[in-house]
Amino acid sequence: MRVAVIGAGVIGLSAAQSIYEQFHSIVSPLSIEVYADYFTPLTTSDGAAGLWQPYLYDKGNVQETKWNKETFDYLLSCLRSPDSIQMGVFLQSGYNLCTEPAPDPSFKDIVLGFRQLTERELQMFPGYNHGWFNTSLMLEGKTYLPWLMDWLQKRGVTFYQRKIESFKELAESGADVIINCSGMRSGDLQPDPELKPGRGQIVKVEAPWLKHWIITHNLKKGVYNSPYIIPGSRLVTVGGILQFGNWSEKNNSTDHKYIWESACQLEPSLKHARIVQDWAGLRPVRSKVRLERETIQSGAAAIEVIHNYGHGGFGLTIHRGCAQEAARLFGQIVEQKGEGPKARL
Amino acid sequence: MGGVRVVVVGAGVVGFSTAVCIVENLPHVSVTLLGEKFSPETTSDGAAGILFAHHNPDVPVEQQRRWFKSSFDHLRLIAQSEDAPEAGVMLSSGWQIFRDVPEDKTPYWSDLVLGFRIMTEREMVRFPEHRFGQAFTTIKCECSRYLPWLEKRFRRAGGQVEQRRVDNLQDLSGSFDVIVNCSGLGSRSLAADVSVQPVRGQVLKMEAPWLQHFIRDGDGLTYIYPGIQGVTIGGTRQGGDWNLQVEENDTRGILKRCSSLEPSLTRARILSSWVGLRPDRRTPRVEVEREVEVKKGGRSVTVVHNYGHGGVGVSLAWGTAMEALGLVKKSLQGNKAKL
Repeated sequence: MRVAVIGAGVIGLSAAQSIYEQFHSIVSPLSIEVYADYFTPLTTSDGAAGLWQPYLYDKGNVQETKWNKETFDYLLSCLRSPDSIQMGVFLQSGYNLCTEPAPDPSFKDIVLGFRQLTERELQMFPGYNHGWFNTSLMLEGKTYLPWLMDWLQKRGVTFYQRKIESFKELAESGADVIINCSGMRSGDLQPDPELKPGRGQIVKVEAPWLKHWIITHNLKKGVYNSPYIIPGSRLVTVGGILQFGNWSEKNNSTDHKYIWESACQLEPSLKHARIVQDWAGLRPVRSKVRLERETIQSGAAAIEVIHNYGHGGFGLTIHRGCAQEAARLFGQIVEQKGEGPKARL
Repeated sequence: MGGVRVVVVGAGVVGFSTAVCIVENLPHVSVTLLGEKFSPETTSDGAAGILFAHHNPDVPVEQQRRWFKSSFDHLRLIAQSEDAPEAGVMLSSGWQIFRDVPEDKTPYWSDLVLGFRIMTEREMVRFPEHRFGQAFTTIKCECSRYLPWLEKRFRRAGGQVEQRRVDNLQDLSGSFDVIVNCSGLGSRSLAADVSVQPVRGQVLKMEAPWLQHFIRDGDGLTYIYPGIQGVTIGGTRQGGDWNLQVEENDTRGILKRCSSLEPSLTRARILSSWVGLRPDRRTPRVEVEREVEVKKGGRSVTVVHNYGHGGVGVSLAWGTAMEALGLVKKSLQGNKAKL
């Protein structure tokens, strides 16, 4: 079988990995090809700070919470692997701050050591009177993506730097199944009015004395529109912007000023941090993740597509759960096509 | 009052903390700090500087609390200010783990650090050989930055600094009215106190920027402390050992013990190694020695001691400095009363 994955961000690469892991000894031959116009370090995943943290409340979307948890547990188990450093995964603790009392987040039982902030801790953050402390995981895209590509390359997965214009194009070239992980630009392949850009801008600085993330939540301003400071292994990501419908990937100086001033108010020591670079990216925002099969008729032929896009600002957080689900859907196709192990008896 | 002249002997964390406390709180007094060695060559410089309190059975708990609280609160304000990076002061969260469940699960300092709690079972899974753990947030104070920052603060308040080896406190009684002895191990001769013994400690500095938490074994021998420019791992506690050379055996032992707590350390590069001698004493000595009568002119010179902090110098420096300040104040008031 020939599998074509569109997109080489964390979603595309991890989907390729899960499919290989689960089917390379079942389907023979299994060729997996990844098509993308951008590869690491130029993908959306590369710009993200890399903190595992879903939105505060899942609003009943238990499916996504399950995928988030799967990803967390998977990454936690990777900590003990000799590959952990090359994967870019490590533990980090930090503060989530609210301007008013708020219910505990949906992820409280998934992370480690979740607790309420004490009075003395809240005193450190004037203007915030409620919040939580917990230990979570960091997964740095700039490290994880090269590791994934290397993992895939070693197992015979091939990569093509090319913008795919249509599913038909791939089907005609012989792909049996297409995994659509095209993130923000899925609309180019198939219009989706629910998919919108959630533009973000961040400033990366050198501040190695910071070891905790500090994320503020302003329920009126909405998610990601309130300052956050997330230390990485080398640089600290400072942000706090989400602009719906803004397609610009250029750095904006007004946004920079807003991010920087509000972050310095939150963490005065940042004043002396060396600014390394600004970056802007488009979160592929959707009401919920589109992770489903679609059989597209093209003339007499039927094209099997598995959609896996619309992960908003939580792609790294949810990637493994989604990849495993995509592999499960792939398994259904394998059964249907009679390529599975049962077919060989 | 007339020019009261105070001299502080010792340029480590206790010396500079004491000097700053005095010069900032006693405006009509001139303060000089004399040190043989300055940062980066003091004992304080190599210490990881994690604020941690021990239970000393020979010091009243209230006094230990007061000293630790004073140091913690003072440094916490710096950690949250613009000065943090220059002063080398930062918040540090992590875990202290025990192979056997300790008798005292919530020690006297648990409400003085931030967010103290017992570790959950899920958190203990990473440490299969340990059965109990405490999670909390404390402060890391890196003396290679903190001491120069304190010196700046000291000079800005009018303090004088001189590099000089003092062989005998009596030599200073001609030029000063109050002598504050913060000479650590040097007090063996300067205060004729042989109860101060070196406890040798070796540490390694590792390049492991992915480590964000401290991990400390409750036995105090094995610890991992991520800092601003590297992760300090250790350690050793060799009583009566004056050897300042880095020992290969100790390096191997440290790497082995620390890697078993944090396996990723086996893939980290060693940046440097260091040995320091903790100025250990049954209790830190913070007190006035009986006033020394200077033969000529009938003046009396007060000697205030502030030494013997062992491995908790950084943790108790500010608290004991404030205590020493109190003793200096009292003795000056006492002298006024005598005039």
